Amino acid sequence: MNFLRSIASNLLKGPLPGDAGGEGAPAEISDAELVDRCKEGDYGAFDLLVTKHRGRVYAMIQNMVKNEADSWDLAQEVFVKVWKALPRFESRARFSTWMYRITHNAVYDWMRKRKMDVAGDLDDNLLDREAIAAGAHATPARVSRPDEALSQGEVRANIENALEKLSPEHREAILLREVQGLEYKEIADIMDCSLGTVMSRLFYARKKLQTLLINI
Amino acid sequence: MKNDRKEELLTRWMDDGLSANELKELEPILASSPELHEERARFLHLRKKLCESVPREIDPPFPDYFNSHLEKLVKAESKVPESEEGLGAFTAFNRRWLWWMAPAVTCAVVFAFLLGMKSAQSGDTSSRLVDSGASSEVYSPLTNVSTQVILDGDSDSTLLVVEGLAPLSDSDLALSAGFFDGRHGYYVNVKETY
Repeated sequence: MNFLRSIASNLLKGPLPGDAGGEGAPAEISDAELVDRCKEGDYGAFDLLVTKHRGRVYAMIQNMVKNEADSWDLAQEVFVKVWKALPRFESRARFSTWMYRITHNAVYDWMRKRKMDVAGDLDDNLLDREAIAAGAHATPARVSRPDEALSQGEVRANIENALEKLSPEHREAILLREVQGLEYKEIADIMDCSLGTVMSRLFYARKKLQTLLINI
Repeated sequence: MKNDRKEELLTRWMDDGLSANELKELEPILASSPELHEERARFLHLRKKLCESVPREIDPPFPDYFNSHLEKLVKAESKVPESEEGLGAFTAFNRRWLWWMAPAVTCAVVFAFLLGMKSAQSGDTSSRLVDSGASSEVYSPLTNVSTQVILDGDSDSTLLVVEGLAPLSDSDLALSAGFFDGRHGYYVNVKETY
């Protein structure tokens, strides 16, 4: 089963040319087709859809949330919501845009909840060594040439720090535009705001990033 | 030029997304602030570094487990217990019923209120007794027993007239601890004897 799934995964993942609804390589099953099959209750099609998009959904959440375990759970939550809402998906937007919108809502709900949770006293359990997850990133996961790794690692760390210093709205706008490569209109749909707001967020987020990363 | 427009044009200029007309519109700003060109070059360099450092895709840890766990969650969500289904149908019926009945109930309440107002106004003011039989009911399991409730506002008392009962013996009354209880008494009309 896993073998078949990995074949399907490689076939599906392939190149994503601008993510034009999965159009492109002939062997690739389009999102639209998979969505239609999902609407008929075909869970296999949904599994393929998940395999195709889980990487980007997880990356987006991980870059916003900065916690592996929470990102994993949130990504699961996103796909459960996608499955439940699929019968109402009218294909007016691209499937990926619609999915990012669900991701956006899940992340912001999580942030709101977390804000309320951490509003209280400091939880001493967070500082307990025994409570740190075994898989937590305490050391670099991959090391290349020491000097190169140092330089790359420094740049990456600086960029991650700078992104964390942005407001969630500015960070998300930057990630959707610069990393995910989405159009302004799509970003506006995902973030549920006007095109002008997207432009303004991008303008100020870029300015702030430049200030924070002046040495790169 | 408005600030919003300037921000939009500069943002799209950074992305090489301006039409010829828009570029013309932006030219005076670029001419007056030549540092914008340098800013753009630095941003393009920064964008390159950003794309190198922040991956577009990250497969979640244990990707196969991710899919299988998700399948379990989805199936668990899809499984609605029978009782819940029944409840759902019942709720749907209630919702439909309420949809039609809500205006009717509202009308009935208003009608009852108006009727109450009218009966209070048209009551015989010379008599202090108000027959409230229209609004009060006393239930009797015997069909041959009729009841009438009379309220006296001044004395804050209620007279309950029950007709058709078999005569009560003295022992019955003694068993129920007599006629009187509390501030007001219970008076039993048996064969027109008070």
